[in-house]
Amino acid sequence: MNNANHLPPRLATQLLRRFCDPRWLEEIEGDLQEQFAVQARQQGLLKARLVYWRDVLLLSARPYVRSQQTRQYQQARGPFMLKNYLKITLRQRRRQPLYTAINVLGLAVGMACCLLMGLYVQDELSYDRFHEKSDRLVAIGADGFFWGRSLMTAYPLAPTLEAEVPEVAHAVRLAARNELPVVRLATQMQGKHHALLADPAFFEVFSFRFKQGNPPTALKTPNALVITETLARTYFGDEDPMGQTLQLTVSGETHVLTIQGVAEDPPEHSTIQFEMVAPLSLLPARQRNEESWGAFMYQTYALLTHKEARKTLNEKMASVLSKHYEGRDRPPTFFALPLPALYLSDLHRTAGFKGQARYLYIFGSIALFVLLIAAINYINLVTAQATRRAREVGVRKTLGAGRRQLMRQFLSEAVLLSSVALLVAALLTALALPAFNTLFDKSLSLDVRQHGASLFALSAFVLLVGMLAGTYPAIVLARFKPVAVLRGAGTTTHRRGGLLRQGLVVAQFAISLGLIVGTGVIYQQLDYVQNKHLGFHGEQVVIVKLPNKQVWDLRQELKRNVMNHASIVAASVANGVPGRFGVRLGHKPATLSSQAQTDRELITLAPAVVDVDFVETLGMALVAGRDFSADQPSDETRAYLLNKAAVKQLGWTPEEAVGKPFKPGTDTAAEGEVIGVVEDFHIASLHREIEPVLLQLREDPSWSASGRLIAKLAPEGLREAMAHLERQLKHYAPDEPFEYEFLQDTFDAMYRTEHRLSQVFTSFAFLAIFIACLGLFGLTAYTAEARTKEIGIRKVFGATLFNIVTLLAKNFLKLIVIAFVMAAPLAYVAAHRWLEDFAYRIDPSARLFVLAGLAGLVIALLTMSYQALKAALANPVKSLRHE
Amino acid sequence: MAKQPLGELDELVLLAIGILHNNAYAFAIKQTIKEQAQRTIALPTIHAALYRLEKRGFLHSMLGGATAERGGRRKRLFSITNAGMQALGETRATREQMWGLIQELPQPLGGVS
Repeated sequence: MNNANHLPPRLATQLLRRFCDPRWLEEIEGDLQEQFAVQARQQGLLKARLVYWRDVLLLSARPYVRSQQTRQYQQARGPFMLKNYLKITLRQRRRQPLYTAINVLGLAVGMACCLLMGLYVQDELSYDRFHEKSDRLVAIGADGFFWGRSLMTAYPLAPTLEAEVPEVAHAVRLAARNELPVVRLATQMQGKHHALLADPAFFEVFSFRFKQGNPPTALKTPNALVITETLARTYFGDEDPMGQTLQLTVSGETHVLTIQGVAEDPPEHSTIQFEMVAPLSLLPARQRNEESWGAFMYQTYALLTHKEARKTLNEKMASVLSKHYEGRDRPPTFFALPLPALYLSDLHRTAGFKGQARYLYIFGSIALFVLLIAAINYINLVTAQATRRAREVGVRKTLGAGRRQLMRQFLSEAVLLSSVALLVAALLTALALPAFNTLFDKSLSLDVRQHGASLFALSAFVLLVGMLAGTYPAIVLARFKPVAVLRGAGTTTHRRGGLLRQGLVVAQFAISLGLIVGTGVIYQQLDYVQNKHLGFHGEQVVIVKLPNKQVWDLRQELKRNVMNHASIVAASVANGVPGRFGVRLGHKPATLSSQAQTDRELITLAPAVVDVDFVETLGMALVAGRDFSADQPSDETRAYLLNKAAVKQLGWTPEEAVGKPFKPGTDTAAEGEVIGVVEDFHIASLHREIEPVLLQLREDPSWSASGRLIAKLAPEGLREAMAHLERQLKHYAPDEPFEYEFLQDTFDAMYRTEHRLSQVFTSFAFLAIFIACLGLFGLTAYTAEARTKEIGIRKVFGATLFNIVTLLAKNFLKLIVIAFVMAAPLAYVAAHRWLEDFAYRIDPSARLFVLAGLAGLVIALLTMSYQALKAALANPVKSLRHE
Repeated sequence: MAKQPLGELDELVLLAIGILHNNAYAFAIKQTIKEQAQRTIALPTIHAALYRLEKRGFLHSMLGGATAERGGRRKRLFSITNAGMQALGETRATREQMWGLIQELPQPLGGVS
């Protein structure tokens, strides 16, 4: 191959021709080509090409070869002009501190919102990514007819998958125990801790870091135990925990375990949390039945051989597992969820906004909206000022500045302002972080070492938005015709800009009004759920947890003793209390009662073992029949109370229900009859429909082991009452903590997410309207100034103050009305979607929308009034003197 | 024009032009410097030096001598002007004068000068 035939890179040559001074072009091109040919021969084509490119680029940086045209252009861009731009910018800014402040402040607030939300979103997305194999880890979920989607799976699932699905490298089971009793026998120190019982491969599959011990083998010896650093310090202080023993009580049996590893505390960003990990084999054999495909009590995680295996895993699981569910009416289906996606999925249930994907979207978009409003402000104010700077543009153009050069000038101004705004935003973010963290229950920080990359990306993003906002004004300003503007007719382009500006104002206020409506809807709904009558009287009612079965068995004695105090008005003991109904049991209607009149396949009841004072203590209303009575010994075993919802599902009216035979359960001991019907009451938050409830005095050991004491307190003497309760509880269980809560608080806590949401919305709505008003303020000021003469003339001809103010405000008010018309339907739809979460909800009222609209109008009016009044009150002599 | 001493690169370029005599153009100069002084200098750097020296009046140039290898483009052939000669001479004289003042060294070390 003859390399001499090769031509130098064409693109580079074209580039060279573009910038090179034609006087030198020929020889330089020739030299370069000759060099290329020689090098291609001697050192190969690649090297020759590289050198050619390098030389062209080097040349482009040499001032002497650049063409005259390029050179001027370059010089004008050089440090000298930059200095001039800077000077002009600063002068402009100093002359108009108000606009500058509005601009920078607005942008900064918008940017700060974005920074905060960016940090938040990034934090939310970073869960479970610390595992080395996180891209191959999946959580196995089950979708069962009865309990819906959940992470709970059957005991034999993991070994079956590992054995029969080749793509599953490892599968581990977990059983979590929130309060596992732990004793260090040597010191008798004891406590209750969050433990995981796991298959031995746990620390091979997950990458929890160890302080001491060898992760892969730590759980593999019998009776091994891995504890966290913190727990090690609690129990062993400065002693070496390795090899020490702790006694654990698992399902009633005690085990003495040897510590084989000390793990670091699980990272905050882990959905799997623990204080200790013990072998799953500690569970009694009856809970570890390899054939028990129906009991879903274990979490299953799988490590796949490769990432893509996930796509086919669901089908593979279905084919492998179907034989175990043959003959069942509705076999459960199993599905694999990538571990990093678990946190934000519906399977991970947490309070607050944590792990709820939709709040991520909501907050993310609101933050972007706020930034958008701020960017719009910038565009609006700068274009509005365009006429003021038209003369400068005219002069610059006359002196030979090109359109591009002017654009560069205005863009550099935008960059400068955005940078300043970014600095202010960083400051605001740092100031707002503590409050933000409290609100969102996070521990975000502006730690550069930790979030360097994302902080940089975020800053770059908001800066980019700032610069983009500067682009439009730059184009507009650079387009001015010098002759026109210097003659003083520079307002021709102004009109068109005016239309755009109006559009932008509409957008701003539409967003703000939308947020106001959202805030209002959330507040109304919260007000509604908190003041709705729940079917019982929960005021002054305190719920005390009975710590163990021993106390539960002595409950009647405990209750009598509790009642022996003047400050206790009424008391009851039950294992189901509104807000704390633990169990739901499904029954076939025909087995429940031979006289059931319904087509339902299944009736799900929330049962509770109560005592004779339950209905009275909670102030529930009886609709039909009678309450439990101490005078009727048969009530102890044969009487049932239902609520209206349960009766309705059975196809009865409350009156019909009384006296009907009833048998919840297969046991003959369950046989009895319905003695009364109580008014519906909420046992859970208003997100859920009222559930059918069954109350009974007969204890059912399969689901009632302990419960709670319900005490209604006298309005006065709260402190004595609490002290009395604590004394009584301590008497029966001296070593157990005294845990209590007020029934009212239990229900309030159910709406914590909504409470926070309302706070977030309030702040964002406030910020949005604040920024929008800043912009409006600036715009009015500008309009008033541009129309000074007109106003002067009008006043001379007898216009009143009111006329002038209307003149100025009319246009903007029109825009706000348009914004409202646009925002209202969207806000309505969004509010409706959100309200669908609640079974009991308000209907967003027209009044709310009207109020929001009026609020927007009033705020806008107030914003404008200062400038409008100032203009209207000015002495016309001043503005007309020069004519 | 304020008298400015020649830079080292300028000196190398001028000397190479002297060596090449009638065929001194940028690429040839680059090659000569590479052969004689074992220095690889990028072509654009040579160009820069040439135009700078021409502007200072040390070089004179004309176009000519297109070859196929150059894609038919002409070369700019440089020759040293009197001013250039003088500047080179002065540089050399300065060096020799200073070398002469070093008495401890019996022999000049040679190398670049």
